[in-house]
Amino acid sequence: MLSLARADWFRIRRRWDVWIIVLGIPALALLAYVSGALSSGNMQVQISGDVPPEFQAQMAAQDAAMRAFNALPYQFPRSIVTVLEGSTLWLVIGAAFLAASLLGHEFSWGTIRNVVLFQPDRIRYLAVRLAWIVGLVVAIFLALVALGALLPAIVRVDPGDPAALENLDPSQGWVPYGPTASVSLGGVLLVAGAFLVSVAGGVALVGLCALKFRSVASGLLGAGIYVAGEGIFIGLVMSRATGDLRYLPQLTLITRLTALVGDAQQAAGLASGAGGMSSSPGWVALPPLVGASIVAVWIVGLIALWFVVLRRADIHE
Amino acid sequence: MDAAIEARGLVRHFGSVPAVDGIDLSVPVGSVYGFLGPNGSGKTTTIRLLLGLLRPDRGTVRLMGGSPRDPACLARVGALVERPALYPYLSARENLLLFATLAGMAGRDANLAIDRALGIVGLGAVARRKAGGFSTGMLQRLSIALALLRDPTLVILDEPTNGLDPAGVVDVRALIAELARNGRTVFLSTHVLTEVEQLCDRVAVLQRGRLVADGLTRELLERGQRLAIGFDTDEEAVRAVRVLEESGIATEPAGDQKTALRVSLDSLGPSAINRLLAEHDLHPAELVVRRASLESVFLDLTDGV
Repeated sequence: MLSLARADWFRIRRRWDVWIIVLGIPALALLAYVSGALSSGNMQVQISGDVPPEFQAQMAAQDAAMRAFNALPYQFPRSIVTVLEGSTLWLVIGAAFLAASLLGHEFSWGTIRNVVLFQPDRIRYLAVRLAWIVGLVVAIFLALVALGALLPAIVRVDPGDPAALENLDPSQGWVPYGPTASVSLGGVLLVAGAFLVSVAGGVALVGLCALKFRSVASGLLGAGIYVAGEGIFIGLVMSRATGDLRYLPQLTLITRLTALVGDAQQAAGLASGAGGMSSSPGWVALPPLVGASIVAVWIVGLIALWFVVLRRADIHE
Repeated sequence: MDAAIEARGLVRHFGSVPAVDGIDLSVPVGSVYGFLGPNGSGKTTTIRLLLGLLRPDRGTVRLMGGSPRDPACLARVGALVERPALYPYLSARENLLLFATLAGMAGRDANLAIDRALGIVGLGAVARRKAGGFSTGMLQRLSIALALLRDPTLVILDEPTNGLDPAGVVDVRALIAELARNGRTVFLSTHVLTEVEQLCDRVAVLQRGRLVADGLTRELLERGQRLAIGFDTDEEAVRAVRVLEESGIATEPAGDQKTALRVSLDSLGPSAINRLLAEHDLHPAELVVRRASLESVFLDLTDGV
């Protein structure tokens, strides 16, 4: 196993596309956080013209509430979720590309042929490659978590008066994005874990497509087609299905991954009530643990299929 | 173990098309075995089946006495299959180091093996250049170096001189001869018939997925030999054709000359044919054994494909 891991290190250490992803995503997250933090104090309640004195006090209270609310995402530990949410798209795309690239290029270059001639144990070879993909994705993820934990100490955002948050008045049009109650580190880590599992689901899907269709582009395209297909399926089922069939959308991968993050945010107190698809008609909620179990079955199943596909694959390359 | 490669009843279809259709092969240890066939005859598919890269629909393969998926057996095999397949962003040396590491070689052993392999193919001077910048011939040399990296006892080479310049072709032929001298078994798939004629002691010819000939190169060439017989008169030649065909020996005209004919030497040798003719009071003015070229034998066997 050690020699396989070393061989993979020789492959990966010169892959600039891999390192651009590993270093680029935290860099983008850093820029997004700093930019958001620096502009968080810019919004304020404008008082123009003659405002009756009784409203001036009310508006000043709203202004203080808004400042406190805008500063919330940049306070530890919520800042970790802020960084992760700000880089979700990059993380998903980057992790998907890493998986597709590290698996698909062996077929595009034809090197898979020499690989299996020098290491006929395809299961061990793929297990090590999987470990590298997981390692790189986790490294990016940990870098994002570390940024989220450290940046509040470097880029300080005045939290304002937390007591003022009680004055947030949705009727004035300043509807809070989410709950304003304090968030525990455990809750934040739960949400972060849900993000990581979501990325793992994407990696598992893209990796399977890259192995099955034997190229980076086909892997990404195949996964994209699955996501679009799932969307169409859910649209059809949710508008037509009755009875137990209404649970079908709850079994699909992307729906479950999205719901997993939503469930975690809700459990952590970072989201209030139902949001996204869960507010759609025809949606039936599953208990969070059942939902998480379905995600686990999907990910384990997809990864198991990686091994089945490669083990049975004819090497025409 | 007498055979380095032993295949029995190998069958592989692509869809409904049989790419390999019931091949039996036995490559003796220490031989240089030529594997011939026209384009699309199934040579590369056969090699992939032998190496375990493809699964046969039916049949079995033994490679160095074991399964082609057994790491211990494959460790004794070096293979160049079709086009080069290397990491373009790694140098020649790094490519070899990667595969050496994958095979469990490390440290001084790996470095020595890499230096030896690069030296054999003459790429020592460009070892630190990226493979992506190599010419086709250099990539082919690097692929041969990869095949030789583990100092294999069986070397399977699929069109090894593809893309090489004339000097490279000569080098590779010398390398194959050297491998044979050192007791290695070489399985050589090639289109270059002179290569087989010069290097191989055994040869198999594949046509539409089936073996149409398999044996010693010398015997195959003898099979293609013809005896050219010339007479002084047309009448003698006509009588000779009748006598020979009554004895089951096929004859064919030798060009436009009515006094000359050619006969196959498959069933009787030249002296026996001469005796047969003499018994019928036929005395040839000329009796010459025409040695067949491998090209003519190959074209005969493959219907000129």
